[in-house]
Amino acid sequence: MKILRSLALTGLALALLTGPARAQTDPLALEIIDEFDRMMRGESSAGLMRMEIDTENWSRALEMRIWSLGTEHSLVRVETPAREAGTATLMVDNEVWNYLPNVDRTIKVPPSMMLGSWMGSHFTNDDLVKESRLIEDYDIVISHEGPRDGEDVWEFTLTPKPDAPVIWGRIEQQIRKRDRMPIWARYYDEDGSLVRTMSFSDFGVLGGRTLPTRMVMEPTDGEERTVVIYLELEFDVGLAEDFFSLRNLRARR
Amino acid sequence: MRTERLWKIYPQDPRPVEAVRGIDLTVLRGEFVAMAGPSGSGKTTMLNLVGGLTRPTRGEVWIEGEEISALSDRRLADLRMQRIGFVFQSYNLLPVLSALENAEFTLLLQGVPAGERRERVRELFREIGLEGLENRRPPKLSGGQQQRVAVARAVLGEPALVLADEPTANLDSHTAEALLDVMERLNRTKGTTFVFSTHDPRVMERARRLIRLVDGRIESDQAASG
Amino acid sequence: MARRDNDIWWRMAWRNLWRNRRRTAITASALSFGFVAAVLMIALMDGMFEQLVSNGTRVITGQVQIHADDYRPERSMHDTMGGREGLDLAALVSAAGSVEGVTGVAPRVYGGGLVSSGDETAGAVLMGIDPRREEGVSRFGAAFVVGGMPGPGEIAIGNAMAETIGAAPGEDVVVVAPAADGSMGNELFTVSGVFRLGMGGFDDAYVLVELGSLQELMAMDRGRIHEVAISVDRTDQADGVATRVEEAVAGLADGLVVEPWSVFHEQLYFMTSMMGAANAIVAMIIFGMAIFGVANTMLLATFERRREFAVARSLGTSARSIVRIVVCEGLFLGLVSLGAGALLAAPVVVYFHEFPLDLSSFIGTYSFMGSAMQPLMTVEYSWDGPLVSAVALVGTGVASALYPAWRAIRVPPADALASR
Repeated sequence: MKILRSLALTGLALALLTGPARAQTDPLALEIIDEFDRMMRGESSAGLMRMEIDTENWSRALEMRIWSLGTEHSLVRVETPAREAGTATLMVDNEVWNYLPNVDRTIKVPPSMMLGSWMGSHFTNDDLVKESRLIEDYDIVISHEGPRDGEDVWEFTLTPKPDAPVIWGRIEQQIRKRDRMPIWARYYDEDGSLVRTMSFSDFGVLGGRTLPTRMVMEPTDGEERTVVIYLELEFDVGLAEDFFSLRNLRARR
Repeated sequence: MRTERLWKIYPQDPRPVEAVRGIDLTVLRGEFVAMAGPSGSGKTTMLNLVGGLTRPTRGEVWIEGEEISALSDRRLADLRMQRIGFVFQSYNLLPVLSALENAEFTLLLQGVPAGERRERVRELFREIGLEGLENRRPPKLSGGQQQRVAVARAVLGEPALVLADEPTANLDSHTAEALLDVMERLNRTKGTTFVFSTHDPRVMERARRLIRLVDGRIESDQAASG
Repeated sequence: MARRDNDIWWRMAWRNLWRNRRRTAITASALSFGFVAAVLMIALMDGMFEQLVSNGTRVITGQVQIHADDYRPERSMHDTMGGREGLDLAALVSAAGSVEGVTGVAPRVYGGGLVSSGDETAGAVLMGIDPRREEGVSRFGAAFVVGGMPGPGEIAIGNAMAETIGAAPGEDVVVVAPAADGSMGNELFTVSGVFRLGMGGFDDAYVLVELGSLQELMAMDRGRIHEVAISVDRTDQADGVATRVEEAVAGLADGLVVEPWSVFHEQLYFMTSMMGAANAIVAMIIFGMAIFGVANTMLLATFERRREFAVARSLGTSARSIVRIVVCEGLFLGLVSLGAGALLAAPVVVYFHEFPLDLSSFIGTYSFMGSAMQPLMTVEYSWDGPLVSAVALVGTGVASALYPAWRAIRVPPADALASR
């Protein structure tokens, strides 16, 4: 789960790069990946986040409890607003389930709906699970290294491997060197037009680690945005895989 | 009617044909003239020139004081309709029209009202022995009858000049005589000018002036004993 | 001058036409058969268009639709008629319903969502409908394999979806849909029936929900709808009906657009237009060939009458009058052929109207642009085809005479004197 885990751990860029490396990928990128991969293997976390969604037609804010284990397991449960409390999402590997307390049912998101919005935000269901596959689907090269606006950075460019089942034509990612924090990620369509931008800010310490506590996803056209803010975060909370079960998805806590 | 130094040369291979070679001719109102001569002597060409059907190569054609060789096609058509009548060797009635319709054709072109047209046609038909044949189509008429209808068509428009191209060539002598009677009478009673081309001795006999053409020139021009 | 008594030229033309009766009869027969063929072809094409358009519009869309001007093409759920406030739905439906030529009016709300039963879930187009009104516009009502239209708290699904999610009438399913307030609407519905339209993209995706229930699920007020679909008595009259409906509903909300199927069903319109154009080209080729054939015949006739034209010219007939004789002959030929053709065409058209050509034994039913076609060549009564064909036929006669007429006035008047 990209949004959550990338923030819960050290940084999105590194999260993007986890997974088995391929020959086309830049060795330096691989080094960063390896370092990150070792660090986060078996890592568990728990926290509280706030999601603010602004669209042309409505605005709303949700507070959610989040749990994750490694890159393949996470669980999110809505706390407020009260009307939607208990609504939960479970992600295991590439699959997504939603629990709807109103009707007391669990629904697996069908493949055809993976590109649909998650909880009305500007993230798709796909965004929640695709992260661990990025290294398999894209070639990653360092397209820039050096100062940008007085900050020493790397810029990675991710281009899809032939026949990779992806929707982006290209992804660009900026990471600052001093603490390897992500600054932004830009998503381009197949025509090379910028479709959306995710930016990271408010770098702070949560659960003993430095990370961006605020991220904003903005589609290029329109005035819309989704903001995610981390309020609480702890690491090594001792979660096992069996925590991420359909039974737990339904359980109100 | 008058021509001055009239020439007509048809461009033709291997060399141009000089059909009319400098003819000066004057025909006065009321004359009854025959132009005779062998084939190729220029008779028909003279009629074409005088009738405004073709233009001369050189020279002038005057009809009632108007020089016609420079007129536009439209003016020429008007001139033919108003002032010239034609009688053709092969009658040339319009086969889809009745005898009456053929006869009144020129009057119709002249814009004479229908009632008056009919009246004039019937009157003339009575005069020239065509009474009762008004509604017959040409194929149902004898040669003589057809030619009389053609004469009626030529004279009814009261032209200054009637040009007749071998009018009796296809008729037996009795019919030819009768036709000549008709034309002569019209010449006398109405004062219509007639110019024939012919090599029919009967026509030459009846003509009051006989012009002989040879090789596009006037060989002789004499008042006939008639 | 000759302006009076113009009838002589008509008379000559008419009599000329009958001078060679056999030739005229053959030419006129060919032309009248061409006319019958054209009338029949157009009538069959009209029947096919009607079927095509009917199948394309009578299943779901109707022939006229009302939307908010910003609804299409994005079809955002927020772009309801009358904006956020919506409008007086009852007034809208009754205003549209009272327009001449309208046979049905169906208000609709659309949403996207998930339908889930047991462990299986499918993406769905949620279509909020008034079941009673929908009967007059779409074919859903007649397409039920089992069960029927949904009442409040119920949905109807296509057979393909029923198979996918394993749901049957009487069972409860979960419907999840993004709501207008940004929340995720979710509710249990009972399956009222399973329909089968037999068209790709519908039986596996469309879910009919009772209008009010869907509005509630999507947190929309009762006066908020996305579409009013209207059926008309004649599909070829949709444009006119659309204009009248637009006038009738103009006062009920700002920014309402009323469009006939030719606008919102662009593909179908394009297709029928293309076919129409192709037919027009075929017809033009046929009549073009006829023009050459008839012109040839008339040229022959004109050539045979050279001397007559020369005589007429030598007597002082104007070129205009000569042209009139020849062109009138062509006109009469066209009119005579038309008369014969009309006598022939009438029983043929009546026959095919009463007994449509059923080609199903040869080719079975087939699908065209997503609509199931009956291979039934029906002939509709219409004046358009015969009128167009009649004009083309008479035009052919006149056009055929133009060149012969030009040749006729080129005959030198001196030819009259030339001996035989």
